[in-house]
Order: sequence, then structure tokens, then C-alpha cells
Amino acid sequence: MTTENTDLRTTEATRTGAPTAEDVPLDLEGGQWKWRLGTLATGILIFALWELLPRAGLISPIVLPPFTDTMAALYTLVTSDFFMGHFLVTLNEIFWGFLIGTTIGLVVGIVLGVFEPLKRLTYPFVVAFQAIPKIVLAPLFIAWFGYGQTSKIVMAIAIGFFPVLINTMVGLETVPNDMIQLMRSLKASKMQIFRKVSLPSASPLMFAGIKTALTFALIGAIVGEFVGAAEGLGFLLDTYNFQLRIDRVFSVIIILSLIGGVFYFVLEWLDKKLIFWRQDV
Amino acid sequence: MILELDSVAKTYRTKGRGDVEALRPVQLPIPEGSFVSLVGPSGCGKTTLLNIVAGLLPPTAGRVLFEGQPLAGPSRDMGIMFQRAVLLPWRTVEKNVMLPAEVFGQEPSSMQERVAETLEMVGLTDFSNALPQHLSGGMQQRVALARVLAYRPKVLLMDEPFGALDEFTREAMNVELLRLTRPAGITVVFVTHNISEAVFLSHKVVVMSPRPGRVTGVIDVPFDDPREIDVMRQQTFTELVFEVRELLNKEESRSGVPAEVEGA
Repeated sequence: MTTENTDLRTTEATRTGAPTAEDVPLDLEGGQWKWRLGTLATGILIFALWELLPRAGLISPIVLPPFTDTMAALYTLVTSDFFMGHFLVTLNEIFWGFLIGTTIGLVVGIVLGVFEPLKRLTYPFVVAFQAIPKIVLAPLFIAWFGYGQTSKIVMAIAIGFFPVLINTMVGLETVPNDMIQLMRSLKASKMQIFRKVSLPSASPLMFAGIKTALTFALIGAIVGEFVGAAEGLGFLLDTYNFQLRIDRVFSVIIILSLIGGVFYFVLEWLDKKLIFWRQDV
Repeated sequence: MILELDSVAKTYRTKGRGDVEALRPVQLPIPEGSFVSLVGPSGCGKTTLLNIVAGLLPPTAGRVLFEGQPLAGPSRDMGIMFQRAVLLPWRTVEKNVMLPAEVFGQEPSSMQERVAETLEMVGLTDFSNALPQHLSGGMQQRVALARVLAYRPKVLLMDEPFGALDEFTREAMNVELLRLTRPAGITVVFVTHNISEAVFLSHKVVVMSPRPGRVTGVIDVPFDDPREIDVMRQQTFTELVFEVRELLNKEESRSGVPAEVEGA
């Protein structure tokens, strides 16, 4: 049977990870390392401009402090005795905001996704809530929950839970119908269909929502601190900005980016581990 | 008769356009161990009929008798295959074949042997730990076939299972399907729009027509079993294909709508 043979051949190739013609990404001569080198060069160019433009007087150092000055400010800031306190406060707010927001999003998303009538009843309000630019809630949350960390955590939750909720719902809605039919033909219980088919089938979208929630939680915590706080990196940034210590402002921005980056990297890694069958990336 | 369709009909109620007759009453006995094809163009109600037999869709009139008993909902003695393989992409080939046993609440360890045996039968032993996405379309359907054969249903219901495969793979799958179901005495109800495939596989070809969906004729296929692909070279084969075609065309000229059926 010749058919059998071609079948086996193509599959063998993909299975052992040997690249087939379609798998190889656009290779513009020279392979990966040349691209890496190019990226590195671009980075160096950006930092060089950052250093040289203010030094040459083309941009005022008050607007953009030179790169080396910023790095020096970053070092001074990080080694100062008050830094760790602010850092941990914001980290704490992001962490709990993200964790609670994601949990609420998952639980509510699953409940609404499973109980159709409940979804119909509440969906208009969920959408209406999403239509609110959440930043306007920050003063309200501070009035309700005070100047401390709670109001910032609530803010992070308010922004972060929504993408998880929506993605969970959509994920559960878009389970391929023939998978459900297959399970029905086996006389599977509703719980079996949910656990063995619906939930895993929705999980790639759910995880995409969780990644968005992380970015949102960071924004929530910082915005909360901008509006009213006595501690945290957002508070620190606002204070330095007010004092026109722009090198310090940049330092805080760099630290916040690093926090976001590390969190995101961890989630990305988890995504690859948990959603190992995902093909669309 | 393992299955008996007793005046089975389906009508859909729609808003504004009144009732749509998807399937006019069908009377059809299906003997145990036989292979019955439902052939016809889109909209002739063949998939509707199959889903009714599967217990996935309630008929609006009539009833299906399975081993003499009226059918109410799906039965674990019947297995279904769709046009898509419908494998769960997060499960390995082996775990996919294991799915029905899990749903039935059987001990996984007791199933292991049978699953391995079935994978061997469909020639996929080397791929038991592969993910479905790494398999070709033909192999994916083979996994789907193994999944349904592993729990040994008495009846196999197939809804254009090889419709998405290329001609060569489809032919190979047809030969394999006969090899796997005939000696085991499994009754097969097979939906297709490919006439020669239907004639090659079946003991009985049920010809259906659309608008409204109905059975317009049943043709018996007299070939002996086991069948090999060279059955297609026989004069009788060509004549039977022609006969089915004729029956479809007659309906086509009557309704004035061309039937979209792949010929031989």
C-alpha cells in the first residue's frame, strides 16, 4: 500500500522534529545568530542615542537624562535604604491583584459559561462594567478602602479580572461541536464533558486572558498609587516627577518594566508547559 | 434485524417560513453484520438520519428499534465517526483511544491491552505516544477508528468519515475498514456522497434525495466478501454505480435542481 508509506514518511519527519518545508521560518540567509547580532546592534544604537543626544545638547538633560546618568541614578535608588520598602509594597499589590483578579475571572467565567441562563441575565451588566474606563474608579476605591495597599489591590483586580472572564466564557462557548457530540454519543455525563473536553479546549484562551490580566494588574496598582498613596513605586515615581528628578523617574520606570517582564516570562514559560498542544503561535 | 427504522421522520419548525421537512418517513431494516450506505447530495437528510440512529437527534415521528427495543438517546453499543477525526489535541494517540473507556468508568489498566491491540490493528503502534497534530489526516482518522473499535460497538455509524481525505488515502481506508469490521460482524451505517465508495463497501446502498429529504431507492450489492479493490474492475460494479447514478439523476430532473454528487 503506497498510501500507507507516504503517510508514515511525512509523520515520521514531523514527529522526530525534523523540519519539513512548511515548518522552516523565513530564513533571510545566514540563520539565527545573525539576527541576534542585529538585534543587539539595534539595542546598542538606541542606548548610544540616549547617551549622546542629551550630552550633545540636542535634548535637554532635564527632559532626557543621559543613559549613564540614568544608570547611576538607578544604582543609587536601588541601593538606598528606603527602596526595598516601596518595591515590596508594589510587588505585593500586583501579586495579590493579579491572583485574586484571575481567580474571580476564572470562577465567574466558568459559572457564566456553564449556566447559559445566568449568562444571559448578567452579560449586559458585565459589558457595561467593562465600558467604564476603570481609572475613574481609582478615587472611589481610595475613598472606600483607604490610602493603603487594599485600594490598589482592588484597583488591580477591577482591571485584571475582565480579560480572564471574557476569554474563559468565549473559550467555553467555542468548544468544537463535534467534540461535544462525540462525548454525547458515549453517554458522557455533563461533568465528564466539562472536565475532559470543555475545560481543556478552553484553556488556551483562558491562559491568554491570564497573561493580559498580569499587565492590567500592574497598571492597576500603579494608577492606584498615582491617585493616592504614601508608599510604593507609583508613589515614588509621582514624587520624583513632581521634583523634576527625571533620572530617578526613569529608574523607577525601568524597575517597573523589569517586574512586568519577569512576571510575563514566568507566565509564558508556564503557558508553553501547560498548553503544550497550542499550534497557533 | 439489529436496527429497524420505523417511519422515522424529522421536521424542523422555523420562524416565519413554516415547517421544513428535513426527512420524510423512512422505513429501513438493517440486518446484523451488514454494511448500509446512505448516498445523496447535500440536504438529502442523510446526516440527519444518521444522527437520529445515533440517538443524538430525536425524530419528530416514528422510532428506531435497536435490537428490538425503541431507542431513547445514545447507546454504548453504537459508535460514531465524523468527517473530522475529532481527536482531543491535548491527548496522545493512546490516550485518545482510551477516552471511551474512561467515560464508561472502566479501569484504565484493564483497557491498556485492548487499546494496544486496537492500535496494532490500525497500524499505529509506533505512534501511540504522538500528539494528533503530528499525524496526517489519514492517520488521524485511523486513530478515530481505533477509538471507536476499541470499545467493540455492535453498530458503527460513520458520517462521511473519509470525505476530507485524498482519493488514494480514502481508498486505502476503505479497504482497511472492510478488513476491520466485516470479520468482526460489526454492522455499519455509512454516510457518503461518493457513489463508487458506497457500492464498493456496502451490501445495501440507500439512495436519498433532497427537498424534501427522502429515500428514493435501495440497491442491493451482490459482491462476495471479503472484497478487494479489484471488485471495481468488474462489469457489475460499473453497472451498479450507473444504476445509483440513474436513480439520483431521475430525482434531479424531477426537482430541477442539479444533485451535487461525486461520480465514479
